[in-house]
Amino acid sequence: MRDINAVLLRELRGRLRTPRSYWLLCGALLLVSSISLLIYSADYASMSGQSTFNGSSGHTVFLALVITALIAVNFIAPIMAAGSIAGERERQTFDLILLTELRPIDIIIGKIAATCAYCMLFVTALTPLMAITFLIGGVDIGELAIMYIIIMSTALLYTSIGVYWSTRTQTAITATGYALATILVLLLILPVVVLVTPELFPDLFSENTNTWMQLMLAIHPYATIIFTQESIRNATIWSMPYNLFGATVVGPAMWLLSVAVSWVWSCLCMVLSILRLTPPTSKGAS
Amino acid sequence: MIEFRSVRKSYGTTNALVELTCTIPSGATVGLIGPNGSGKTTALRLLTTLIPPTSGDILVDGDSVCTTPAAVRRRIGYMPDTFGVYEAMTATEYLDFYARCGNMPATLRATTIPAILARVGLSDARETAVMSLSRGMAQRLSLGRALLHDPAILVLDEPASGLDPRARIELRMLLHALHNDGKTILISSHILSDLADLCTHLLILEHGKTIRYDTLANLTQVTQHQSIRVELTTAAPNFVAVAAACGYHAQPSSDDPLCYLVHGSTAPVDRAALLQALVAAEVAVFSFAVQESALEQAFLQMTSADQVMKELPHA
Ligand SMILES: Nc1ncnc2c1ncn2[C@@H]1O[C@H](COP(=O)(O)OP(=O)(O)OP(=O)(O)O)[C@@H](O)[C@H]1O
Ligand SMILES: [Mg+2]
Repeated sequence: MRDINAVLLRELRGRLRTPRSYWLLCGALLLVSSISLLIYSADYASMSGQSTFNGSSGHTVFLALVITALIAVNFIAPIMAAGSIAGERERQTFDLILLTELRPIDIIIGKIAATCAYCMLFVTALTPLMAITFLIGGVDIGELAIMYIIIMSTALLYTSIGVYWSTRTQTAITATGYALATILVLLLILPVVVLVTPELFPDLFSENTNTWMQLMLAIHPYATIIFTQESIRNATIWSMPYNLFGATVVGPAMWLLSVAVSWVWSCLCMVLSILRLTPPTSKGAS
Repeated sequence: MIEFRSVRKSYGTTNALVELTCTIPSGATVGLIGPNGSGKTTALRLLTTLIPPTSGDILVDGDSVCTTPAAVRRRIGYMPDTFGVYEAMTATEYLDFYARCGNMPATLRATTIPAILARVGLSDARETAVMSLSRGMAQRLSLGRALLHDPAILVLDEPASGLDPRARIELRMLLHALHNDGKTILISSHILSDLADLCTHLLILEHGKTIRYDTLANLTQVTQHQSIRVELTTAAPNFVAVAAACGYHAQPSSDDPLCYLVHGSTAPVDRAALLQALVAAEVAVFSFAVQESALEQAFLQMTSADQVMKELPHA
């Protein structure tokens, strides 16, 4: 059996051994738990007539937890991933790795797996908080699983984007800049484009607006969570209707689409990263 | 055997290395020497396959850096001119990481790593954090890393830079031992004396051009201006005349008025006669030494003329 990927092992050890990563994890957990507490209290105050929590307050807190976790992953994944290759170039350790038996694919997978594992550690650390909302009611295990899958797929996508930029730049800081900018475009500019385009070309989109939006926003995890809420309320977690050119067809649910889109884009980023590390066939030989 | 065949490397309009052609026999220790920016690092990185040549090719035991780089890499242990460290890692873990990267099985790692640490004299520092190693220890650990997969060829870029005299001597002894093990060693430096007693061959580079590539024996022979350095306690105006009478050419040393450099016959009998004549003429000689470091002079002769012309454009 092949040994565990050496890059992955070193990255995880290196990260978890520094006090910085503990503080980062503590800080993020503190942030998430205070936000959920805040929402909890606000929700409690607004139900002045009633004396007990009900499913809806459990669900509100659950959503708040999911969104905050997603926000945290939004930053943790690309920032950590952006340092992966460019940081080695900065520390001048990268040449030595390239000269070992590791193939570019081993290096890229090790780097991506390390950042994803860190994100997973963070999301797993939220489990007790999630469990509370689960016990209060209003959240079922399926929804919990779907949200975990969306968060981890997002982590994979943003990590891959970060690693890709990391292979293209010489310093971690520029890679971080490019990675965050790319994600900013996906999260802020894309929804604007999606909302504005049907207004500009009403003839093209008159019947398909909703489907067009869903298809385009599948790469947007926040939009996916919102659309998925609707599906869950309608108790159709696996499928949803699409309006395509006048006909209504039943297709995969928004979150399935989103996960698939994330994976496809992640794979694309990985392939591009691997190609960046593969030395060009030399011109020197005559 | 390593063959550089008309190797050229350009960065845009900068020619880092021009038409390097040389053959390095197995077991040789080759010193690459030249001032800053002369292309030493470029030549070594080309050999390690980290950068491709712009034209030409390098063959390592028949394998080309252009067409079969993986095979070349396996034969080479490379020690770059910088020691890159990862945070929070001990010396043992540092070697363990690179051993894993080289797909070394766990059982082999367990024996190889302590052996390498012992070889480079770091057994006591095996649990020391890599970041806190002294420069000399870090260099030795880096050399240990290059030795992990037991390569036949060692490529060492300025291993002695930044080391104190003691660390230099330790490094030199290590390299001597590796040479005796039959390793082919390429080592760069801009300090000639670092290499003089270590190398079998010298490659002298300047502005990317090969000034000279030859065995150490040939290089020192060509410029057999072996001289005798004579030091006096008091001035002797008749020194030059006495030396001339014995067939020697004497000139005052530029740095010390009580010191002369004497050129002429290298035969021991003639030298003895010269010393006798000096003593008979009541010249107060207190030191009479043959200058062994003819290499330094050879090097200066080969590079300086060219360099001075370039550095003084108005001359
Ligand atoms: N990546 C690069 N991009 C552009 N120019 C480069 C690059 N690497 C080296 N050069 C140029 O190539 C020439 C040779 O550089 P090289 O590093 O090989 O010299 P060197 O002999 O190792 O010098 P030093 O003693 O300073 O280490 C220099 O003029 C340098 O500016
Ligand atoms: Mg150099």
